[in-house]
Amino acid sequence: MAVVTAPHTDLSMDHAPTGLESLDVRKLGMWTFLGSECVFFGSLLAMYFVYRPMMFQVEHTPHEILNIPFTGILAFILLMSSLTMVLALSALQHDHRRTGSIWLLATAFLGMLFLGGQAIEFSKIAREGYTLRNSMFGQGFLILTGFHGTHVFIGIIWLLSCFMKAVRGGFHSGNYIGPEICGLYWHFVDVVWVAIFTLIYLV
Amino acid sequence: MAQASALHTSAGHADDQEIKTHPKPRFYISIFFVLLVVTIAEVIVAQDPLKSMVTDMGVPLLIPLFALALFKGLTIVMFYMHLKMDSRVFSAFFMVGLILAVSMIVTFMGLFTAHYRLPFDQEAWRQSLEEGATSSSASAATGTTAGGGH
Repeated sequence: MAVVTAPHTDLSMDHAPTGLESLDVRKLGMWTFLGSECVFFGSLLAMYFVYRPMMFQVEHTPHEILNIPFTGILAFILLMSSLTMVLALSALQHDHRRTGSIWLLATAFLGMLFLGGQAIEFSKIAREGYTLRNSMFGQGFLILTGFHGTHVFIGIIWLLSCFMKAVRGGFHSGNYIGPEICGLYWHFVDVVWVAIFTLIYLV
Repeated sequence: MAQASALHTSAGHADDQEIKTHPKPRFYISIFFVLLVVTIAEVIVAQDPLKSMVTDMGVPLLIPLFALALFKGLTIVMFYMHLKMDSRVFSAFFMVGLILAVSMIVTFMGLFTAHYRLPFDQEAWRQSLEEGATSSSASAATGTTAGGGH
């Protein structure tokens, strides 16, 4: 009778894996996916940068259109959600099921706050006339931040599903790969926002 | 039964060594405050009067902002995503995508923004638009077309 063993998820450098066969393929798959997401968002940023000089020749600069302090608060919210996500993973790794579940829920809540703030911002610039149809800046900005917002939305659904499983005791020190991979995705979404906030809003 | 218990052990609780190597929550909270300070610094640098000070020194605003953003991004990837503590294979897979993305941005900007390096005269461009609008309305009034054909 064949014996099936669970994949070894050792984070210690003393027991660093020596070959691909000792890596968790689910984590490897997620890192590969995140690499492809870098290319995806890179292409959107490239599109924005190519058209940026043309945008500012006929329209206002982002500093005149966008509310930088308000977006700074959104950046802070997303940063805090990264903290709650990593605290959730840490709690589940140490078998603190209730604490881990609460942090997962907090992460999802902060993500929803962020999306709410984005919705307010989108409606504001639409009222000022910067839409997908009639403004080059509107197209570049809304496509980029719209795709990012979609990623945040998918992350929130994933977080809520992890929360429901964590509440039922599905994650513990022997099995935390679910929130770990969800955490990788969520932190990547935060990294993309760091890039967007700096390169679109501040520059 | 013995195999089942062996299976449970192998997929069961992590040993003490593994638990000890996971960073403590205090570490993550201190990383958060570092990131918060850097975010505040970014917003301050991008606003006047610091923005004027930086540009008056001849330094493009992109450079300090990009440096701060790069620091934030690397910190999140290395510590929150545990890439520093994890296998180098994960780093390799991620870096391939990142290098491709950066190369694409640089290449596209080099290919498609060369003409923007010439100074653009916005006033002359607006005048040409107005002249074009005036001449098309004048030709519409006299009944002639721009091409001159019938």
